[in-house]
Amino acid sequence: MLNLIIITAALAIAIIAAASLVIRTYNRLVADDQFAGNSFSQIEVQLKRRYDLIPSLVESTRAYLVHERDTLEAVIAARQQASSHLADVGTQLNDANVVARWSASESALGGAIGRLAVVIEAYPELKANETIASLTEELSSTENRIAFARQVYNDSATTFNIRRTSFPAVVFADLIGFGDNLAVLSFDDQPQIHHAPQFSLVAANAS
Amino acid sequence: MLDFLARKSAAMRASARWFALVITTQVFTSIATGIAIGYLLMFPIVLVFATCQPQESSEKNQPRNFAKTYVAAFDDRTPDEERCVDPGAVFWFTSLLGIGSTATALIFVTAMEHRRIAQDGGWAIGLAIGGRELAISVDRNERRLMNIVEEVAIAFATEPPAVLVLDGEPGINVFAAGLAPADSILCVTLGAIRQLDRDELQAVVAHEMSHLTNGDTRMGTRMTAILLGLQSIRVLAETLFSLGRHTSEHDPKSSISAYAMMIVGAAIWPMGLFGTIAATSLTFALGRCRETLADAEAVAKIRNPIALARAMRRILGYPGRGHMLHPMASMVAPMLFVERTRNHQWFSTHPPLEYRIAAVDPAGDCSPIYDEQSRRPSTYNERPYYAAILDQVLGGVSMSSQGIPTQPLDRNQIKAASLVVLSAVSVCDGESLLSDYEFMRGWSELNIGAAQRIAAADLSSDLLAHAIKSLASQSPIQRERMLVAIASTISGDAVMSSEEQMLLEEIRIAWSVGT
Repeated sequence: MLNLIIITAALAIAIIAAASLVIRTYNRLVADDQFAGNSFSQIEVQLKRRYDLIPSLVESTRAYLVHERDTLEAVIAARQQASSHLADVGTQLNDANVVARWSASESALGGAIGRLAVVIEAYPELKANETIASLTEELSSTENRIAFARQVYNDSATTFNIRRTSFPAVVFADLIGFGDNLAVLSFDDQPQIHHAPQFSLVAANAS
Repeated sequence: MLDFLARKSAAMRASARWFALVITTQVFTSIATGIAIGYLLMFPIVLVFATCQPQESSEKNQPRNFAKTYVAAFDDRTPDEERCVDPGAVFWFTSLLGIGSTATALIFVTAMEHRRIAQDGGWAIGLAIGGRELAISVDRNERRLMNIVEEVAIAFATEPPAVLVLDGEPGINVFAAGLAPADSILCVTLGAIRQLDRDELQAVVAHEMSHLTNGDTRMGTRMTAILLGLQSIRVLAETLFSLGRHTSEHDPKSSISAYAMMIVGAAIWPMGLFGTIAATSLTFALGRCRETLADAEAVAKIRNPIALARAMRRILGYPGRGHMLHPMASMVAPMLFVERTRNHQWFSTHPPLEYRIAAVDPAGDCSPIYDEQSRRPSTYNERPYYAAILDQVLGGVSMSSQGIPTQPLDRNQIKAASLVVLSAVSVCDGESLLSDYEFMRGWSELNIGAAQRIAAADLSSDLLAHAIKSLASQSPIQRERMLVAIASTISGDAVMSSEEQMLLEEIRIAWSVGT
């Protein structure tokens, strides 16, 4: 009789311990997931700021850059594409494909803006223009904000992933609805980055 | 990346240790003061027991019996049954009472001070120190600063604090204040806005944001409250002592209570002094720890250690450094980016800049950065001929700490060599009354005391060559100042003669200026 009581009590304690572990892990994962989602929406806010800035920058430089129509067109096109991809990525952060597609279009836009910045540098009268100077300051500030917001998102996504794949959690994470890692934003599949060194290599060989 | 995270956690541990030491000091001080009070209280209580002791002898001997019983209680030879009370037990009781009451009083005073300090939040401090709020601004530099603060706030995932500019401060410094996010402010000196570039300013702002988000402002408030609490013991002791002395001098009748007051004051004064000094130095050590932490945190969030190191190197090379002119600046000393003035190592709020640079960027260059514009002398004379000559003298100056190896010269060496060079410059186109004027004009730029010009007859070309050679090993700032002095000497008669030009060329070659 006594043994039975002891065994029942031990079982009850074990079940309570296991349940509280699962509950705690679940709550933490929910908090981390929410935080990561929130930091992603911060990236969205900054990206929208960039989308809003681009048309006014393009408009104010158009008069000076008659010979650089292609660069301006590329910026506008990349902006359109990136903003259309952003719409569906916010809700599907654990789908690597969606994130990768959006990330590629976003970095294409970054590349186009970078080329435009180089062009602006080459025109002294553009640099001297007060409106354009303040617009480029806003743009570079926005680039920084996006970079920092990505950093915060990546840090929080990494925290979530570490917690999810650590030992006790990894056993039952799938069962409580956290089966996938959050995508960490990266530039790895970026054509521009892969091409950049080749340019300098060709130039070095030619000279 | 792992490196600065490790550094961050090490700094966290160290600051926790220092905080524990501060609390220990507080506890120790209150125990020591309590025991001192208890020891003093023991005597009157034993006296009370002696008075209440039932007396067997006749009424007229009573006063003497009090004294006898009183003294007997302290005598080791008296058997326990015959004592009116055991002084040891009384001492135990009174010292526990003393410790309890001291600790309560200390906690009460600390809490009151904390409340008082917390009442004037960030805004009050910022406005008291002469800050101007930065709202929508058309100035490009100010717009940039606003953007930087918002960027860094995103990196820290918090709300951006309000930004204030200190227009009257030419030094490079930044501080943060405020206990709650809504009340947080960030004050930036005009010098910082003008001298630092975008990345550097960003790193400096990140350092301050780390103070805000790590709760360093809160901790600073707590520390100040503890310090003031401990100080109150010392203040109380001094008040008691001076009150007692005053009473004994002016009112002979109550001299016993006056002496008692003086004794109590003298007994608890050392405890208060010890507590204040120990807690002060520990608080400074804690503050230095938090600075290291803030540097590491800034690098962790901005991921740009080079910019932070560059900002510090620029401050090292800037003549105004991080000076703050406002008299209230001492109030925010622990929250500044760099220390306002140099203090002794134990009593400085920040680790030395050189050490911080080496910690942030161990592999990089630690030498100060000298900025072209900031090195123009304060007495820069706008008259056209002077400006022309100054440009000719300083033309192509590209001084850095590299190049010529700098050896420290002592003051007298510099003074003697400068005297020779300036005398030579002033007399090289013939000795006249104007030479004296020219010499004084140049010499006054140097600010190294009074001197008489050396007469042309006493100068030799060897002496001059030696002086020029020894001055070549000055630091860049000293060399620049010397060049300005030479320009002032040459421009004394408003023209540059051919002799002066030749001599100048010689000096410029010897100091490798413009090469």
